[in-house]
Amino acid sequence: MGLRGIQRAATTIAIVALATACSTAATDDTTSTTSGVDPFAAQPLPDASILGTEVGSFVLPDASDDDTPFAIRADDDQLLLVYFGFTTCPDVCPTTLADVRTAFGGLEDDADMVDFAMITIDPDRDSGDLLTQYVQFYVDGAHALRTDDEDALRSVADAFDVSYDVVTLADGTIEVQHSGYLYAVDDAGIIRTSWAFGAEPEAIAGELVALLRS
Amino acid sequence: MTDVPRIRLITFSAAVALLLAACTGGANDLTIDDVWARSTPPGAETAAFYMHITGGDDDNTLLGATSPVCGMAEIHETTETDGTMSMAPVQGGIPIPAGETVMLEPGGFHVMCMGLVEPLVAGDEVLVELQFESGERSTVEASVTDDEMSGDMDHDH
Repeated sequence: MGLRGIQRAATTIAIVALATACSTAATDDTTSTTSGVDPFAAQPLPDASILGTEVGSFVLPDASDDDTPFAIRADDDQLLLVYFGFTTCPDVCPTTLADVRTAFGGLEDDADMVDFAMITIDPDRDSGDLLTQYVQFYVDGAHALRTDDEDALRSVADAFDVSYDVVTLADGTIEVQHSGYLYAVDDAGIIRTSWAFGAEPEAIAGELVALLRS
Repeated sequence: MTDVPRIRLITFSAAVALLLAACTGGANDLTIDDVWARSTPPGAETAAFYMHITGGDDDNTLLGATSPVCGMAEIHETTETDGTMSMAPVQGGIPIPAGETVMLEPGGFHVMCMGLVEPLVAGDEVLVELQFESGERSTVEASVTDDEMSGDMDHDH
């Protein structure tokens, strides 16, 4: 071990000590309370009014498959998860998509029976290629649904009771608002269930398995 | 005393001094832990940093952040109204009351990273500098993970 090595080792030990000291101080601080917004404290219930709605007649181009028309319904005896989002979404979409990935992991052998499609609400910024690599980063073989036809997008969103708004502010900042729900559609194109933002991946997987068995 | 132990002693003393400065010195002994970011898909232009910040002796405010991997970083908050998620910069920053722990977590407060220079890959450590109203600047390392940082997350999400 050379001089640098020794210095490094000593520094590492000290940093570990430092980290321990810091975290101990925090842990021992009995006056410490928890504040801030707990995003999971008051989740909206999934919107029950849209359950049973038929969405299978809607067709959008699938950018992951050369814009082949994709009907929003699952293959026979399977389920299709549907999510409305956009790729520049830093917080909500990656959180939900990572949860979907975890849910797929929890499906084990049933994973082949569930498909995933993300519909971009920001087609101006989300190219087909970008959306495809984005969604398939989370779920292999996922569908990237994207249309430049604003009316078509709006009618699909309306069918899911999804609201979205892409606004360019005076300073050039683009703000996006969107419903944060995830939906399961069956092979008849019927919305069978939905989950609010923050739903546990285990719960999502469990419900999907239950629906597949029903 | 040979050279080597002396060097070790000096290095260690310097680190201890650093420790004292970081943990007990000054009026604003903020503690920042569980700093993490989710791995990002190829081509993604944004990311978010999450962490727990515990206030020191005095009230403080998190005003801003910078990171070498972000073209620009801002303190943002996601809010939910009837299922619709909105995100906006936090006007005036995030208050960090003395002795209280404020959580920056998915679906709430976060450091939004725009103009992401390169994808965040699970296993990476990314530097983030936080700026506080007290004038204090803290540089922390964010762990990049595929899923939410495990450990003491209170909602085990």
